[in-house]
Amino acid sequence: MDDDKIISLFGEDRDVKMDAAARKRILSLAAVEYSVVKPNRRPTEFSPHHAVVHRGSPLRVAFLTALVICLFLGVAWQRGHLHFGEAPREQREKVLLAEFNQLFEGRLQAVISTGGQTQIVLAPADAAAPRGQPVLIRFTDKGKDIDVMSFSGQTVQVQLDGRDLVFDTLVNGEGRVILAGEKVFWDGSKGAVTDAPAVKIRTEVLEM
Amino acid sequence: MALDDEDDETLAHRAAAGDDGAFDALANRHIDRVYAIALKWCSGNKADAEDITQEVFLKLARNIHHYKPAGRFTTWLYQVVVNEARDSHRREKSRRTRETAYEKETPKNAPSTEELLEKQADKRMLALYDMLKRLSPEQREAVVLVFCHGMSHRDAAKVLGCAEKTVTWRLFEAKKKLREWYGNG
Repeated sequence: MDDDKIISLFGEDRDVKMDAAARKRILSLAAVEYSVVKPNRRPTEFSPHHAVVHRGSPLRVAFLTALVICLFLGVAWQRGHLHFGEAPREQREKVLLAEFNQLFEGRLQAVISTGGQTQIVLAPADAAAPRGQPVLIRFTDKGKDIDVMSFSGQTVQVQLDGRDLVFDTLVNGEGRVILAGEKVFWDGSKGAVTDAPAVKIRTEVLEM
Repeated sequence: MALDDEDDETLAHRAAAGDDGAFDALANRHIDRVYAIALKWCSGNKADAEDITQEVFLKLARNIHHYKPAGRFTTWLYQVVVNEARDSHRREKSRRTRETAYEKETPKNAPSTEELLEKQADKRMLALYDMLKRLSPEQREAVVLVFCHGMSHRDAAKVLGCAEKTVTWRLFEAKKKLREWYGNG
């Protein structure tokens, strides 16, 4: 067997195509992941809006942006409209949850986001995942946020302060989120009981 | 210019700046090639190759903003593929060790890749994957990149993080083995 024969043998199926369904699934997953972690769209030399966006100096633009945000936050705070899960973020979480749920055909148990990394937890293919109300849970541990999107009735596992925390996610009749596990009990009205007292927990029911 | 007409480096720049269309175009352009490399790495196991491909594109999505225009985009992408394939190989070895006892007691239901390929009477592919499986991981990496995907020794060295001469030597050793095994082919 000479070199040319070896090379031609190995090179023959260089452009093998993958299964169409798997291809679509992987591309969709990558697109969703990219949309979650991509940097804020900023003008580049390729952007058609380049000239418009660069009219002011960067400092002036930053100052004006900060001023507008402060004004908005101030008004929203005074009117009592500002709470955990402000509209754009909540909207984003809803879209994400719906996308993932559709992608995995009802097998989605939770989406856990930590510092730009997103973990998707799926039920086994043969297990029908019970579908409760979608909920959003935010753990704040030493300044870092861990966001969990899941459904009422699901068991979720996250790592907090280097330890695994397992809990059931429940929504009671009053529409309040309850987290119940061996090492944690959270009820919106009573606060959290956990062996990691520094961890802050906030929850919200997502209306789909 | 349409996105499909842009070169990889331009698309990678745009994706790094947050352009969804550029990222999609880049992923679409390279997914089959990445899968083809992964498939050979996994000796024809499609499920494993799909897992590697998925991890590669999730990593691409998470890390595209770190892309530096120092070299070609494909060199950078293939580095991600190689690292993921190596990780996958390590995980697989560890899993196999854990499952050995279980497998002894459990009858196999699903046909193996080899069985499927045999059913398809694709003897040539079977021979190819058999060859790759019998090479050492280092030789397999060099063979996949250079013989299967037409990379130069220099580019393969960049991807594998070793000297060009090392790639040449690994290929020399691989070819020697292949001649021994399939000398009459």
